[in-house]
Amino acid sequence: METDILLWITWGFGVFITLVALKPIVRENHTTFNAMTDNFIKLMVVLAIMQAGGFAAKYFYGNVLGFAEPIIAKNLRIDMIVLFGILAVMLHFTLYAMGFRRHYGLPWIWYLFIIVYFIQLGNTDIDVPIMSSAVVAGGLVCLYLYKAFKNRSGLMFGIALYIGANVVFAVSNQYIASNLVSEEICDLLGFLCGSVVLAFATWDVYDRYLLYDRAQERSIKSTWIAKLMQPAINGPQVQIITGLTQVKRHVTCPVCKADTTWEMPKDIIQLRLQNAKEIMVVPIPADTTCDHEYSVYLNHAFEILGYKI
Amino acid sequence: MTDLTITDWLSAYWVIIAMSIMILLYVRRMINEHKRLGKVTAVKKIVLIAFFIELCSGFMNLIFIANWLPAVPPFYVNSSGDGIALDTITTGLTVTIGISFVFYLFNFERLFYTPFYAMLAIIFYYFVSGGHSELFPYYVYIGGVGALLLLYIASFRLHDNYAIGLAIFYTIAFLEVVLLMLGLDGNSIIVAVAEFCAYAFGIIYATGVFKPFKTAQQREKKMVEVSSTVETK
Repeated sequence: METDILLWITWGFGVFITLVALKPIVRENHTTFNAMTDNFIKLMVVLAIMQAGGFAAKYFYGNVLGFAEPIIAKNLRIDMIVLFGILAVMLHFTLYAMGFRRHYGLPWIWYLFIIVYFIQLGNTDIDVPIMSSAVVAGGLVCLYLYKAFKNRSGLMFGIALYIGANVVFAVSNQYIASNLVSEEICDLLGFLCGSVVLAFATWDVYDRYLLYDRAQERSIKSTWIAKLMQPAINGPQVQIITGLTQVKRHVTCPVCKADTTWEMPKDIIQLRLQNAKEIMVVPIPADTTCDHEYSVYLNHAFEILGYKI
Repeated sequence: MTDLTITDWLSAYWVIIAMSIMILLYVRRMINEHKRLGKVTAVKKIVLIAFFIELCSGFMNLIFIANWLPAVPPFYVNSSGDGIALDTITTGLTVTIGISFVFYLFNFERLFYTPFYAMLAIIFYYFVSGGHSELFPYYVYIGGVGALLLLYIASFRLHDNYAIGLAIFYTIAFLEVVLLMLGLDGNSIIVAVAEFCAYAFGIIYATGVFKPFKTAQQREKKMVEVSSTVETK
């Protein structure tokens, strides 16, 4: 009885951590809508429902109804449905993030293949589901770690850790856990650890202490923007110079070297013309060249003198 | 294979000759279109792949008739779509191309490669499971019939001459399979006529003469005019 209460308290704590993890990212998406962020929120919700729901289903099936697994012969268990489902969802999200829309069917065909394998064959000498999931999970972890360090993205680092944590506890469940309680503990620990690492990602812990301090950069940029906008607010009214309505410059991200042709907003052009003598620092928002935000130094001729991270 | 008649041999060679002619005529049309428009549409590419798979199917049939490979499992299963073998894989690929074509016509971009992955998964499962292919007949029969019906719907909705031509070609070929399943053998005159009609229609379709939808012709004409106007500018 006490064990069951502790398990459900842990489950509740995992749900709470998931909600805490969602809070900053939902708030950011509410102020500045971003399709990728929106889909990441959906991903987190789906993963949380799968893990929390999987534990609840397993508890209900084993402890309340008193049935023994597998739920469907020969060897389909709730843990397998949840774990391989998590990998399929992560693979689907990865395909979405990389823009491979036509390949959305791949994760689900693989998932169906695994389910059919467990139902028809169970355990065999060559454990194809475990081997294929190891390949998928390993590939995803490596990909997200690579992207995390290349783009200095705490979110991707958190996703890599999430997949790793769930794989570790799934392996423990499969090869170490010997009874229902220990299996449930492994499931809950996977859920809890996964929520914690994602919470660290959404609260910018990895960015601040491990990868890149976006929060500090944002605060510096907001100070510059306030200084830039001061003359426009307090100064005399300035008409738009009709002869100079479009300025484009080639910009290169100092972090990841992505480049594009950037069209300067009219208010920046106007400010530049007003303050002809000073070197101006202009922020380049994210999604201009890549996911990074940085600033450029502009002279009176609208030439880029340098970059600032 | 044993007890073959002259009809079986004629049928096997007729399929290969007809498909080769179809592919040559079709490729010639694609080259002409590329010269006129500067590109080849995805629909034409998909139809060409479907023709190649049909040609491979014809070769597979000839291989087993001529005893170049033993007509026993795992090479040959002796009925269309009941198990994985060299002769039935082409049927599965035909169904796969058909389903993908339907997804392309209906603009279901996210599902475009799903049939290919499904077919790969079925074949892979056959090898890792030691010969299980229970899902394959369902995939072939349900997928094939569904793809054929949806191909008709798409062609009438979009007024696409390529889609309707391919649908009629597969319908006649499918009728031949149904006749074989009903118990008629390859020597039956009905089966022979059905096979002849299917590939004769295929040759007519490959020449580009079969164009029941006039709006599609006008659409193509406009594309040619626009592309030639752009070139002159």
